[in-house]
Amino acid sequence: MPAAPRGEVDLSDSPSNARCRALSQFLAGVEVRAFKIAQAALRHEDDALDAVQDAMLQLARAYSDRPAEEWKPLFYRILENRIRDMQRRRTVRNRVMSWLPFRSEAGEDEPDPIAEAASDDPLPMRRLEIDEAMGALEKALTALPRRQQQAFLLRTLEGLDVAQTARAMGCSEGSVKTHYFRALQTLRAQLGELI
Amino acid sequence: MSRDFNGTADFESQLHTLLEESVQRVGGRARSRLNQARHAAIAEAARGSRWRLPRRAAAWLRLHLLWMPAGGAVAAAALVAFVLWPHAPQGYPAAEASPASVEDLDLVADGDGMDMMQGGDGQFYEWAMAQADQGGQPASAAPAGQGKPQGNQNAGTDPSPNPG
Repeated sequence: MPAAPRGEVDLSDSPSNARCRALSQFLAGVEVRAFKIAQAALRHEDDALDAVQDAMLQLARAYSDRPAEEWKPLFYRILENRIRDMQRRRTVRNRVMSWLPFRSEAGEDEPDPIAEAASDDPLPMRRLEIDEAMGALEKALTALPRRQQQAFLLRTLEGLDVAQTARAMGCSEGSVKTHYFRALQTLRAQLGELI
Repeated sequence: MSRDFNGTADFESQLHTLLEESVQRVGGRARSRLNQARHAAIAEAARGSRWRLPRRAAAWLRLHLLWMPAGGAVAAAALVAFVLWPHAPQGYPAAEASPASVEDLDLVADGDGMDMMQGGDGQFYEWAMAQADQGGQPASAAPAGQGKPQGNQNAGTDPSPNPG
């Protein structure tokens, strides 16, 4: 079997390579949604990207030999743990930074000019409405309690069923239903007129 | 889902549409980083699987690794016991408390014997050397006047068997 070029992954036919291919397809399918979920929790793009990257690495390192149908709940469980770690670390960091007199916050959250560039959307009015609703939804989502937010996004955005969501969140199915229902109620109260 | 409420299903569906739209709008920078992260993860998995043992071998190894610390502790204890246990060199009989050794102890414990050891009796050493020169012949074969002292009472005074 010819060796893969330096720096690339050899995905030619063999059981382990087939598994790597399957893992690659799985990660490609969940990565953007996972990023959105992490972003809703962390409210910071780079932190969210770091969390997703860590979760991908951890899944590949420790659980890639598990059956493929277990990957999704496992991946979101790892991601959730990572998000929680980052939130804790951020809390400590903010506490420490608040004591420093020379800290500078300018430039930390500067918008990406490429992401902010205008596009050639054919329906600007429709887009404006969607933007408005999306902004309100994201704002309402970030205001949700963490568990409700998690249950709602895993169910609605990722499409996990109740059992998978319970496994990903590490709680009972009844808790998932409760969190999801409360999240839905809150969102409906806040966004009912916009959507 | 709670479809008993009027419009709840529609509301959920609209939320889903909005969220999907927000996913579509994720920027190129984030997508690029996610792509890199995915490749890194796959490389990690490939590297791991290259060195991964077959499932049965891994289970066997796990089982034996579990017992290895206990086995190691037992082996270390056995080694320590072997090193510390008093044992004679192989090929030699174990030391016994022979009558001769008890006699030697008596000599040392005796006050006269102590005087002799402290160098007060050069004659005894001369006699002992003469015995050695004669090839270890019995004391009865020694010339007159060089016999072994008779008892401890003569030690350090007169080596001759006949007092006076």
